[in-house]
Amino acid sequence: MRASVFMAGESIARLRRRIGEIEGRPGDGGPREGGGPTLASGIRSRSVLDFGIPLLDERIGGGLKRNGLHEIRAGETRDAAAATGFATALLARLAVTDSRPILWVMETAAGREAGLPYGTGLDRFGLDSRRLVVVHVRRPGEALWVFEEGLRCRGLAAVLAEIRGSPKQLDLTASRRLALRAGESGVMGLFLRQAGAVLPGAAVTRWLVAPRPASPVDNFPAGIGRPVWRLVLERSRTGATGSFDLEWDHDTCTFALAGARAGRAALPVPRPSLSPDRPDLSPDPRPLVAFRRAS
Amino acid sequence: MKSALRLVALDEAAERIGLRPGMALADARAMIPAIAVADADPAADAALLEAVADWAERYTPLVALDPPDGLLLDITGAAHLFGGETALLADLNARLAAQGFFARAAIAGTPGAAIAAARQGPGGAIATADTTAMLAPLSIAALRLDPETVAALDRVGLKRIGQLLDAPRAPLAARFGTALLRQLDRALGLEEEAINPRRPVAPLVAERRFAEPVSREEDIAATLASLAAALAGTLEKTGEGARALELALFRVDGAVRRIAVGTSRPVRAPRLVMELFREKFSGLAEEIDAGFGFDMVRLAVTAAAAADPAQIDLAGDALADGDLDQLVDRIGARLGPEHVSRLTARDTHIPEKQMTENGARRTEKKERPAPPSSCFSSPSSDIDRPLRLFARPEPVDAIAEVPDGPPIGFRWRRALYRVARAEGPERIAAEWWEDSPDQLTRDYFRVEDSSGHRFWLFREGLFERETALPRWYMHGVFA
Repeated sequence: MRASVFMAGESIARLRRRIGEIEGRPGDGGPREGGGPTLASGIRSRSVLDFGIPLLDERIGGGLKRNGLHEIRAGETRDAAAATGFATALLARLAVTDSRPILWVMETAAGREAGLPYGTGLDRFGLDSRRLVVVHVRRPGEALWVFEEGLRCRGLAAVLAEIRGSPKQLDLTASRRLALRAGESGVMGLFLRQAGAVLPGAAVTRWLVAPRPASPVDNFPAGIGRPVWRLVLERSRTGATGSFDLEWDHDTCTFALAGARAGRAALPVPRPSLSPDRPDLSPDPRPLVAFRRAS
Repeated sequence: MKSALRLVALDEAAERIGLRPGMALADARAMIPAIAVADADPAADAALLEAVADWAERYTPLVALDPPDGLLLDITGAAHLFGGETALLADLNARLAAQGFFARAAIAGTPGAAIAAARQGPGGAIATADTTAMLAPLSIAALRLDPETVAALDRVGLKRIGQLLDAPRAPLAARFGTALLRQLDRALGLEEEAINPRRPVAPLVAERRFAEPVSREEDIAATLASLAAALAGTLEKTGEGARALELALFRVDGAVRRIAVGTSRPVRAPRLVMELFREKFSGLAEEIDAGFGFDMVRLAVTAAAAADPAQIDLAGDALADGDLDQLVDRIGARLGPEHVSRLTARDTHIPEKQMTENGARRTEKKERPAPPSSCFSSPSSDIDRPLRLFARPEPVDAIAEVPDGPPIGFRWRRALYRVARAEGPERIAAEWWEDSPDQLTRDYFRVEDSSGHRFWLFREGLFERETALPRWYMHGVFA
């Protein structure tokens, strides 16, 4: 398993793993402290939340860092539903391996403009609504406070905070604080921004989400099938950016690239399970030490 | 004469020159032209009495109102804390005088005797043995009787309580009713009378008094910490934890500020109590005005519940669930408990009633019930319900085929949408067995516009059967 045969190579490999961990990369596939199936700690079983799509996961270093802040942006208010869908899909995938509750913080203005989270819809979408604790706040400052408190709470799997527009409290300092809290506790932070401009922030990844026409289900081609979103990866730790059309299958809790499922049999083929001790998909033969930083 | 302005209350100087309550203002002005008058304000008087009652809780938690101008304090078991009854009385009189009140106070073995002594008698502390002797020379009105009874007794020449004591009881009861004798027995302590405290008595209280008033936030926090530690010890002995706490800050000038917090599960760790109050303080809309300082701080457990010791000892990092409860409490303390909620499924098919937000605080039931699986819950594995629902369905202008075709295009929030695909209708009828007679049948459609936005629209009312002009609404959005 060791990358190098040299005596000195051992320490270099250890350093590489360390850097890889800091960068959020899965490393060279060897057993790592803190990652892997350390279920006894109960804190986290995996350090990343992958999409199950090698093309996308490779770009962002194996998946979304569990102990990081991720920003999901909707350009317009009418796209907020798609952004919510993407965030909910991520939470649903997270909930497969993590049974802790999820905190959903929302500003009153955000709920008024884009609607309130609807339990029945969330259930159908693949996320058990009984796991949600919803906090309604009136002002962005309060939302940031609850967001930070939630990220400090190890009893949570993730915190989703929804803020409308670009309030002045939402500066780089606030974002850094949130990222720091998420890093300390291992609670995943999802920041859903409705109709907000790009602001400097400490998020590990930033996505711009817009809806695309739904992909039809094979046995009912005329109907509205599985939701599809255009995801623009605007920023990532690895420096990679790109645009992906992603489709969500709520039955199996999996993503797929839109169109990839077309022409398949009516019954969905079961995908590999998300068991925590499964090896990483397509491990990189040579670990990358560092990438150029994204802006 | 009924609508004449009359005197309601007088100060001492006015009484001395011969003015009386009930006198017409014109008569009083005729006697003394220079009197100063102010409009009577019973509401303000009542509020002032309440404020004084708040202040009086420094002596005992059992404070009752004796409107319009009296207070009853049950100091059973509390007098020794102030150095005895006489010392308590002196302290109370001095503090009230310092606040600018003229007060008469008395301590007696029964509420009736105390009221009689304070209102008409000599005041001061009256021993139980002297009660009869003290009451005998007082006027019968001191027994808290209705004016008609007093007037009737007066007509037959019974003016003093002593005369009643000597009179035979049976004719008195026959002529003036049992209320007279009951009041007499109560004053004498022959019949039990409990006072009705204005606020429920907290099961557990810790307090600290200061010779020099404190006003700095750090001092109050330190006091709170030591009080919480004192309460924690007691709670531990009884195996309980606090579900609700109240901090009372007694200001030197008599104002009392109360701050209450609630918890999701019983707590007794002083650190957690401190955290809750810290959030509460930082979430308060108006800052606490310390004025010239607080001379007493009291922390009361207003509701307690049996606590599993293991849960409390492990609370924090080791117990993830407890951790979340603490978070819910902190958020509730700062923003108000109604802002934190969980989604609960209900057995109905009206979409907006299917999920309700309930308080996230733990109730008696540990686990939330699973959503009811009845004939209402659709077995479909389709995403046929939106991810987000509007608090109120928003009206839209839609073009659709009559009588029940899907929408072809619609205008929502001043933007036009062309429907590319539509699924429906899903017909949801009003619940006639509920109290909703005016509700119309709804036909729901899932629609997608050309750029991929997915909406949940409904047409309200069946064309020509329920309404001539069905209206369209936007109810939710799909991912």
